[in-house]
Amino acid sequence: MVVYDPYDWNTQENPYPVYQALRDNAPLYRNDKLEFWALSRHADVLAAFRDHETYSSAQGPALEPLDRAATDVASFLAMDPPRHDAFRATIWRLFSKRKVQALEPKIRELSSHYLGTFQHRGCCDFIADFSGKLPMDVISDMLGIPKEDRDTIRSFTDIVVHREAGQSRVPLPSILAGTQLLAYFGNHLAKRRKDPQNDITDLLIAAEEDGHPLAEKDIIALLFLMAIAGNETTTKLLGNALYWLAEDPTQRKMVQEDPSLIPAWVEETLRFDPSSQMVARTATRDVELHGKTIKKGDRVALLIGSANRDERAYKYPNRFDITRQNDLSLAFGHGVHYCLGASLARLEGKVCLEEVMKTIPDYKIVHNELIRVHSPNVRGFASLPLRFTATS
Amino acid sequence: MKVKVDLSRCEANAICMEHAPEVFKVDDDDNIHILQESPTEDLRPRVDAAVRLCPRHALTIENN
Repeated sequence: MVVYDPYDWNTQENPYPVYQALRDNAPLYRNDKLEFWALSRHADVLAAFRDHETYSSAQGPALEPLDRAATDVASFLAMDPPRHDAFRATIWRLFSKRKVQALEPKIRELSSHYLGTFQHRGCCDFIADFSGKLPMDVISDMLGIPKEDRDTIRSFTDIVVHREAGQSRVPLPSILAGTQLLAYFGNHLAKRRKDPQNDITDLLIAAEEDGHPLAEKDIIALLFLMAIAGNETTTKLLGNALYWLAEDPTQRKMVQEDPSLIPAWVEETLRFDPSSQMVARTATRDVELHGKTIKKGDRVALLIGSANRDERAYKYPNRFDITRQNDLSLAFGHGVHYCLGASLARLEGKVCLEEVMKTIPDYKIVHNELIRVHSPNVRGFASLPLRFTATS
Repeated sequence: MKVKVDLSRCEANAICMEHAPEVFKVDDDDNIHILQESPTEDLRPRVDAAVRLCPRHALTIENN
């Protein structure tokens, strides 16, 4: 009988065989010990994303119960329509596909900068030296976080999301770092009210819900969400892309010879090994599916990582193939909560990988020094050591 | 068939425009325009693709 435990170390090392067993034998899976259901087939996950009335986000996106009101740290990610829509409406235009293109020169500059710190060495830890840093720089700029505060904020956000193997509750360090981050943004907000800088924070100060300015804690929650949401996931996406391309010398050569394939490389990485593997919902009514009944109030995990490997949706799904025409990859979710940062993430993927392929094209992964992150929902490397020809 | 967009959902991803530019246009201000509210049947496959692939699930087709 298949067992799916998202906190199990071995499952985190490689969840894909377990996902296959779930899709085949328990498409609606019940874990009584951890008290959740899981949907693993593409069609079911897609339908759940689309049915936000049945599958509510009100308890937040993670399986484990939160230590505080979900909306205090997750903002509209933990809201359902209609309230959700009003919040998202305050910022979506800043993150639109067209709008984020303006960030391209900045992302390229940051990429060159970080590559410049190690390209002469012939080796690096790509996570520590590049992809762990760049996404935070980009969002910090947008949020107006001063340069001198960025390392501190980055370490807070890292601690907020970090989980030790097997941990199924939000650990105390995460709670404390979260509290410190909320305090930081409270302070940041107070400063901005006195001294506007024309960035996102000012936009939020001017924004309204039902004709009234947003509440203080709601502005802080929005800042918190934006600071955290795109960080770890983008960091891991970049690492995963380098890893999977290196596994296939033929496709690697194709990309080296034709950099216009880089966006497709990013898309296939997102499908094949998404950095966000799972999001949670709460059933607002009883649901009958695959011969079982989800009860009102039950937690339901939507297994994005599994849906993207479903042979009912993709041909040869376990083959990493950058030439496939990607159809409805669920890497960024779908529907009402579709990742607001998707266009920014894709742009960062494209530009960063372009610079990497220009600067260290012969990078080799040091396999015996790889360290995977161990998390119930994030997939990627905590450490990705590379060797390459040194350049100045 | 009649094509409808939920304007409160649309976030200018413009996947629809990619698949059926005769029917969907997203302008430089990130606003969507339905160019043909009742597209001809020959456009059906591409309109279907646009509706299915819209990441925000903002489009619907009404068959009359």
